[in-house]
Amino acid sequence: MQARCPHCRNVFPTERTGVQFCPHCGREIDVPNAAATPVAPGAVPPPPPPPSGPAPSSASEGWNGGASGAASGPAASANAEGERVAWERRAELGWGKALWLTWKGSLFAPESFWRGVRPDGPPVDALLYAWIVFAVGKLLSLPFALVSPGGNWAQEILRQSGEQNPQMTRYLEAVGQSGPWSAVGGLALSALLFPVGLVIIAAILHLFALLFSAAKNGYWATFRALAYACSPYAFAISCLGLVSWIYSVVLTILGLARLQETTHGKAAAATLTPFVLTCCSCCVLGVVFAGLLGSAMH
Amino acid sequence: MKVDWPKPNRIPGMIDALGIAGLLGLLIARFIPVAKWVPFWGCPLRQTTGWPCPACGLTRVADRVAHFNLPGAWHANPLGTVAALLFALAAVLTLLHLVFRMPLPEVTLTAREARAVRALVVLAAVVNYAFVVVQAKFPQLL
Repeated sequence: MQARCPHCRNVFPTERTGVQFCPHCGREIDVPNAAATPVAPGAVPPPPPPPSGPAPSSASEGWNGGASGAASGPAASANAEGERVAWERRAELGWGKALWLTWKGSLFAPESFWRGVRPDGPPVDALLYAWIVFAVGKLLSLPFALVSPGGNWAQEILRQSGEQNPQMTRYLEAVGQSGPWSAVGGLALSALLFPVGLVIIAAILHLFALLFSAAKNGYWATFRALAYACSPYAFAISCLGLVSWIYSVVLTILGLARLQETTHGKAAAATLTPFVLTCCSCCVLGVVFAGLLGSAMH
Repeated sequence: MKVDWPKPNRIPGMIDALGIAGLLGLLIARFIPVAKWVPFWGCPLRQTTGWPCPACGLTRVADRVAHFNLPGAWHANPLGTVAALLFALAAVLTLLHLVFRMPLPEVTLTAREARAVRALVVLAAVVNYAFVVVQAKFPQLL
């Protein structure tokens, strides 16, 4: 059905009644429980033509943070009608096309993509999508794993930097001697265990979403946000792994803000706090590694 | 606070996800000595500066809780011990829920109660970090 925002007067498609956010101005509105009513609230037909310009400035207070311009382009067209995400319509679109549209939309038009993702949609669909994307990424990274020299590069860095750590050297030698097939096994294992990991990471993320009051629609909405944010892992190959991970975090923030109907700030806090709290060691490790790399290059 | 008891079911939810996390984590901690196998396991912040990070001691907590050494776990990181025990409880509840269809209560807090809980969690994290810092840098104070 169609609903009209009483604030910005724009009409938008919606599949449910009750309190929700206007996709144009981002303000909270209450769509009355009159399913047959074509335009609500303040039903003033006929509806104005759909907006074609940027969102009003008042959008900065809403969950969509001002990035609510009209959907455009082929990627956005998959969700432009407020329908389910393309992947969840794969029966009518076909698996390949649905996968491609969803992947493209989530990567290149994330704001319009997330508008089409329902918080209460089936989590199994999201899990299946994420699993396929992750497996594709692992398949693409297979050739790199086969030709990877194992831990030799790290040994070289340690040697050139003058770092003398026998235990570390032994470990890296073991990694280097394990051969490429252990890397292949590792890739296969990680792809197999991916669903379990996704469920667990979603649980941790949802705990922090609860902490930051960004868990309005429950655990499975967080799970769906995390699953659809896995799109960048399709190109998590070699050096692109870090980039794809960072973009996945960005997509998770956008998705969490949309599906939990909260602000981007709260979504960012919920997503990034676990890293800040528990992975600060990893950050320092990165700095130390960068230092080692720098000294090796000199 | 409102507590609802649904009918017996096996519908997975948040508690089940946390339970799976707890079960896997504690099993790994019980049978795989990660810190011994991986030589660079540890906190680089602590190794380079001497100051612990807020998560320092969590590996020891998991290892000791998995071996039922609760005083040792508490000594390593008190809040981590509480979290590990809650994860263990979630694992038990998950088993009961998924195997025996035991219903899990649905707790709904008012806005005020939710704010109070959040404040308590943040306060506990700060106090815990203070304890970890004092234990690492100023043990004579304890």
